[in-house]
Amino acid sequence: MTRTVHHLGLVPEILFHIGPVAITNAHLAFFLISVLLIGVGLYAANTSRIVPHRIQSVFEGVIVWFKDKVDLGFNDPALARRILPLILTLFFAIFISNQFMLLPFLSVTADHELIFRLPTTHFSFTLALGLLVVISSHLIAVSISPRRHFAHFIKLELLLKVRSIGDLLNWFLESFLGLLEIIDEIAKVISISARLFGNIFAGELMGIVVVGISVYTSFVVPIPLYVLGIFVGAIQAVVFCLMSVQYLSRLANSVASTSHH
Amino acid sequence: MTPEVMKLIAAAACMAIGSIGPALGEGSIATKGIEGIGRNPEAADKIFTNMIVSMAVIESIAIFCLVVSLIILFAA
Repeated sequence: MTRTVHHLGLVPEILFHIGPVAITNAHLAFFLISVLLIGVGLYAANTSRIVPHRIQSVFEGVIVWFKDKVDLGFNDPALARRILPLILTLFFAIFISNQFMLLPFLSVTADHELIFRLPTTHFSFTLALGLLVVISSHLIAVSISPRRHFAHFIKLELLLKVRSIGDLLNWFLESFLGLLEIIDEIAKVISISARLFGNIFAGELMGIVVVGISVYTSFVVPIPLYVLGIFVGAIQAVVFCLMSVQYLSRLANSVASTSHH
Repeated sequence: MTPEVMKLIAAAACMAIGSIGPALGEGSIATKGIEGIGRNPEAADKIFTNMIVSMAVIESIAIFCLVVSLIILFAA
C-alpha cells in the first residue's frame, strides 16, 4: 500500500536546530501565526476609526463578547480589565492555531516532512498554555492575599483553634479537603490542556484515517469532517478561554471575598 | 494474542466504554440548556456560556480516555 498521507505522530518532526534548540514544524507554524497575528492586530489598531471597517469590527465583536464574560466572572472590575488582554491573546492564538491548516499552500513538504503542523496538535504547546493559565491564577491570588490563598490548601489556622477531639477530627477532614484542592490544581492543568490537544488531534487524525482508507474516500468524504473540524476548533478556542476565565476568577474571587468580613 | 493486538483492543475498549458516560451527560446538558433557552430566551447568552463550560468539564472525561488510549497506542 502506498502512503499518500502524512503520518501524524504525537511527536512533531524536528526540522533543524538553532544551537541546542530543536525547531519542529509545530514551532515554525506558531512563529508564522505570531507574526500574522501581530501584523493583523497592528493593522486593525492603527487604521481603527469611529465607523469600523471589516477587520476592526471583527476584533471589536470578539473583544466585546469576551469583555462581557470576563466582567461577569470577576467581582473586581479593575482586575477584570487587567485579565482581558490575556484572555483575548489566548483566544486569538488558539483560534488561529486551530484553523491554521485551512490556509492554502501550507502543506509544503521538505524531505518528506511537513514544514507546518497545527501547533495545538503538539501536547507541549497546550500544556504550556494550561500551565500559563493555572500558574497566573495562583500568582494573581497570591498578589491579592498570600495568607488567604495558602489557607485554602494548608489549614494551619484551624489547627490553632482546636479545643477538643471533635475539632481535631474536623481538622483532619479539612486538611484532607485541602489536599484534594492541591490535586485539583494539578488536574486543572491536565484537563484544560488535554481537552484542547485531544479535540484538535482527534480531528486531524480522523481526517487522515478517512483519507487513507481507500482511493474513493480521499476526495469528497473528508469535507464534512473538515467542516466539523472548523466548528470544533472554534468551540474549543472559546471553551479554553471560558475555562481560563473560570479558573482565574474563582481563585481571585475566593481570596477577595473573604476580605470583606 | 500478541501484545500488539492486546494494545489495539485495549485502546479501542478504553475509548468505546469511556465515551458512553460523557455522551449521556452532554446530551442531558444540551437538553436542559436548550429547554431553558426556550423558556427564557432573554437569558440565552448566560445559559449558553454555562452550557458550553459544563459540557467542556464533562467532556474532559472522554478526553482523558483519549489520552489514555493514545498512551497505550504510542507511548507505552
